[in-house]
Amino acid sequence: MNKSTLTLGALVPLAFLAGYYLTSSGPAAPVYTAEISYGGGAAVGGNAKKSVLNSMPTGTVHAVKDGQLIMDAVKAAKPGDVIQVWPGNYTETVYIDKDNIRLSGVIVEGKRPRLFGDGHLNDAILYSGNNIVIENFLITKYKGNGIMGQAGNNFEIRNNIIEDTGVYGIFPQLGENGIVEHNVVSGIEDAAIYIGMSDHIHVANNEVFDSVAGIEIENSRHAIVENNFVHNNTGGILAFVTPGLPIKDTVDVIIRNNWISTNNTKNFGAEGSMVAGIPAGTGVLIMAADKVIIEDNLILGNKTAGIIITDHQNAPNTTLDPESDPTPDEIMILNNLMYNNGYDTITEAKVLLTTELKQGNPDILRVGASNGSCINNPQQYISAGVSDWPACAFSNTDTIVNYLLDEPAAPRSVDVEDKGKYAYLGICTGCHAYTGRLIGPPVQVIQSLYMDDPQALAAYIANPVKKREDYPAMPKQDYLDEETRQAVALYMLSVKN
Amino acid sequence: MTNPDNKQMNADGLSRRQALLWIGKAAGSAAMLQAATLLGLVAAPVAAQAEPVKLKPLTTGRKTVLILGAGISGLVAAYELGKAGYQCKILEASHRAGGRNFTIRHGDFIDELGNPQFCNFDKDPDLYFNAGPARIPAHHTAILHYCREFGVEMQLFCNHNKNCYTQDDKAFGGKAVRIREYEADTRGFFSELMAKSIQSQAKLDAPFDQIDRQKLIEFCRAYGDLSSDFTYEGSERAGYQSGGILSPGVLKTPRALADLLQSDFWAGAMHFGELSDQSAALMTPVGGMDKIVDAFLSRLPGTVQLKAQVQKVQVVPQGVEVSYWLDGQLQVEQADYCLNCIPAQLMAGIENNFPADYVGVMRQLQRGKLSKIALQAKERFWEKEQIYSGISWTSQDITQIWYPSHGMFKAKGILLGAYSWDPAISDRFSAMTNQQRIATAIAQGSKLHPDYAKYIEQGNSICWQRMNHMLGCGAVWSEELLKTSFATLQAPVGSHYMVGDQVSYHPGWQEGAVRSAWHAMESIQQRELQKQRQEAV
Amino acid sequence: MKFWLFGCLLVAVSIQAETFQQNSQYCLVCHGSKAQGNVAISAPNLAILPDWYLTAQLRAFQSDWRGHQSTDAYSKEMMAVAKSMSPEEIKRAIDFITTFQVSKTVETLDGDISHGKALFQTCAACHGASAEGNQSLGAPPLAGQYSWYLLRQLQAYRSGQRGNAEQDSKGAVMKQIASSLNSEQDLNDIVAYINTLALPSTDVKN
Repeated sequence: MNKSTLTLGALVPLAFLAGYYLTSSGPAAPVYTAEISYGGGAAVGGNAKKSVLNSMPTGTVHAVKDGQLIMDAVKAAKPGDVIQVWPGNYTETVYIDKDNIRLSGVIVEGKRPRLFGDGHLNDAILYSGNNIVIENFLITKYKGNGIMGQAGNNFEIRNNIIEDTGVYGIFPQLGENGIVEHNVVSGIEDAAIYIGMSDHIHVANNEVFDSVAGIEIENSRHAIVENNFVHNNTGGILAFVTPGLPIKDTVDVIIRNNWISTNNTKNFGAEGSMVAGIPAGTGVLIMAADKVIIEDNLILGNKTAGIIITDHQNAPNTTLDPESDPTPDEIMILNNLMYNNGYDTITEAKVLLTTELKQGNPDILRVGASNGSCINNPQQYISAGVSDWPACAFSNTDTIVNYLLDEPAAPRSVDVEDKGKYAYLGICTGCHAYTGRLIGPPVQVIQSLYMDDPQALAAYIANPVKKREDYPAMPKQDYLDEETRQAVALYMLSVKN
Repeated sequence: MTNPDNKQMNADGLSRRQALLWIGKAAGSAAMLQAATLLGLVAAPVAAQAEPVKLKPLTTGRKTVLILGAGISGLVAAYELGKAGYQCKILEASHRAGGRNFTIRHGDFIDELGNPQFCNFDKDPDLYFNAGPARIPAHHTAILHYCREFGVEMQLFCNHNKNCYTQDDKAFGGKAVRIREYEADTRGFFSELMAKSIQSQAKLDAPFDQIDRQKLIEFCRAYGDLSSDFTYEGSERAGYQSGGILSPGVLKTPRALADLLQSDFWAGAMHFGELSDQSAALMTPVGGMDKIVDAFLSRLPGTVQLKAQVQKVQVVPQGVEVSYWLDGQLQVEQADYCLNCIPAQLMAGIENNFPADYVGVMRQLQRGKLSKIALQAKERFWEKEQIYSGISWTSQDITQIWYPSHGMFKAKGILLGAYSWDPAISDRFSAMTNQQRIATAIAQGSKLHPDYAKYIEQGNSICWQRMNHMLGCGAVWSEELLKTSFATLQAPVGSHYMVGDQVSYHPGWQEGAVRSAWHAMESIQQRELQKQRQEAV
Repeated sequence: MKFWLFGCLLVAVSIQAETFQQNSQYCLVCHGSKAQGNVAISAPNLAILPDWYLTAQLRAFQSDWRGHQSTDAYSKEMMAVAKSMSPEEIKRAIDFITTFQVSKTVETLDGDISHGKALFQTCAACHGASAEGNQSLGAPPLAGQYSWYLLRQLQAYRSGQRGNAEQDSKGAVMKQIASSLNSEQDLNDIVAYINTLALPSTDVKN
């Protein structure tokens, strides 16, 4: 049980450890030291991954002070440069469409650079470049995204505090090989940390709370979620397959050593969106994902259930996607500490328990089909739907330190013909599934509306108009250049699922 | 006949049900029902009583009756109840009384939804057509009762005229053939077949073994007009090829049986005039069917309120309350009784407080679909073809051409250029504009009368399923619905009665309308008599 | 309170003007006395529909976008009526129709409601989560409409009888969406789900 102890130790946000030490002499550029952070991990031994980047930045350091625009520095920067942002208020959207940029906040006596959306800006930081680091910011009052990656590979997002910011706190979309660690994210309408359609990801040592979904691994492969403190959300940690997205599965996810407690916040997700269907009081929710290991978590005081495993048919607000397997298969529940869950559960859960002639408050609920799943020591939990699951053939995942790549992933193609595709996958699908409602209307509907008029769609992207009462307004995508908007419009109208 | 729902195929691949369609609802589904009875598909309905209704004078104080609809059933009700002392008022939604009893002449307005027309026939008492009922068989004693009582002058009406044509694209190269020829030849061939098969058998099997063999053969000879050796070699019944008056008549060469059977005429139309409702002698009022309406109206002064569209019917403890639009204002009126002749399919959409099963029947009744196209001919060319009255038949959508039974030798005449009761055909006509309908009627009629187009001056059409305030011809009851729900619709709800031909086994016929009104009035009389007895006690 | 007259009044022979029903509540003959529709006539519920949608559809019928290619006799009937109406008559008719309270006849329909609900997510993007309609997208309310009518319209879109006209962009959207449904069963399930939705409130309508 020593891992649980470790988890407890990791719960305190260790932001100060990761910051810079600064002299009081003023804004002189700090000396760069390698390995300014560490990549967490179950085994805090010598084999813990420190970084997904091969080399430290070698270029110029651009300093941005209060009163200046970060975006000006980004425009001036070349790949390999560092942008140091000094404490101050920055009301802007930063869009990094270059590779090898380190956007680094400077923390002075606890004061961070504050990105302030003022309630009207949509996104704080967007990046589409590869090998991007974003660290040490305080982000608040944006409407859409705190930090969003758009098809950038090899990213590190750490040591940020994100409060009351729109739909997604940290949202790497379609990224390969990335670390999200030591962030404190709260007050998010959808997911505080949302890993979308990504591969080889490590989400560790974050605190997420007061959001609808704490940490969401969606249509992503090879992800480890560990040592996080996930509390007071509607649902704690989610491993999902959202139907209608271009990536059709979620496979190989390890959820371990997390503290998942009292996720009983009333659901305040946008009505009709998929997360709006999460019952308040859900510790861990597995929907249609495969090969998910749930290990050594503390799951406490989640009123509906500690762990819910469901297929698409039984989940509210989901459409069907013939190419998505709707069934959660090979779910592996190892040892976990579960206590005081399910004390105010949903009627369906009570019915399920009754059919198994059980009483009490459910720790684990499984509805719908699930093949090849297993559970260790089931007798310690109050559960419904898992009594026929056999024991797993192993008891821990100690040998898997992380799923990150040994070498940085190659950047995605930037050919013109791929421009539309990656913009689509990296940006649009964050809110638009092909069928069904994610955040915005389904792509299928958009296709019908614009059909053979990509110009009109491209124009709309740059300057959207709110048309649907019950949907959030679409943010302007005018940071994309015209060529990209045109390409993505064409691509969006051509996709088939 | 073990399973009537099986499609039993006839020789030409025509099922009995198709044949039924052909016989069709030529004057409403009653014909269909009767034909079905003949073919053994349904049990015969019990015949209605023959005696006309005789209401006793009202003795229970002032009673008011609201009658919804001034068609035949409504007029009969107002007339009879009025005579017995009831205070009657008829609310009629359209601009005219008569309902489907509608004779169209010069200047008349045809209120078809989206396709309103005026009749531009020449102003001449003989130039009219009966858009709704057009003929009355002798056993429709109820409607004839009023014709007699009112002194409506009647004339004969001819359905079956052997000089008319049958035309089928599948037979005789699509050329029209005189019905007399077709009928004589088919009967001849079948008689020959029968006679020869009797002759060739040494001994007849049961049930023929008791029959005088020679008589049977003679019957065949007489029936088919066979020659002395029991062969059919043609008959004068088919009409002479030439001669016959001042020179010997020359028989026509019989048409080949195979050709005759190619036509669908035998499957229905050939026997149409045998149906009890369609067989000679039929009658019709001189000058148009609406002479009956006129006769009622002249006896009902101030009773009919036109352009009163019913909005709501409520059964209330005191009787019935009816709301209706008049001049854009909503009026409300109460009465002790209500006889509701509104077509059930429309009543289903009018606000009411009826029981669910009652409204449920109305929702299930189908709109009768029936179209007629009338054409004014500048010359009675059919008389030159020795046709006076009667009906020609064709397999085209127009189905029938009617030649007028009146106005012989006059300059002009009104033909019925199409009469379709098949719902699919009627849908095709209803989708057309008036001009398209007339053009279609002329084009198809030209297969029977090559110079047709030359003679037609103008026309009018009527698609009953599209007529304002009716939206249907005779109600279409399925056999099943008739079985399960007829009694439901016929029974009163409180003091409210559904009446009209729709609440009879004879929808599409005035006889059904009259009998339905009689039935309701007898029930009302029973209730009043009961009250009278209660008051006496 | 004069409601709309015959369109043909304008072209008709003047001598016969007396025969017209000047005050006829024309629409109600088919669409029911409260504009609630009538299954026996196959007339849809108009009371649930907002003025902008009624206007658009009358225009669609007039412009041969609806009814023209249809094999469905009912849409032909409406096409003929719409074509007989002048803009002023359309306005008066719609003013009249929109005075009626939203109402609905309870129907029961066999269908997989939960499957329909899942499929409806796509519909909801335009028609709203409660099928209450969305004017800015030209999407009418569906809640409260008759199931048989919705089904017939979905079939008409799928078969191309509706949504096929070049300038009918809104119809084209529906045509494409309807074509993406896999089977008659899908249509049925969606309609069964819509049938379970509550009626829109009157203020949505106006």
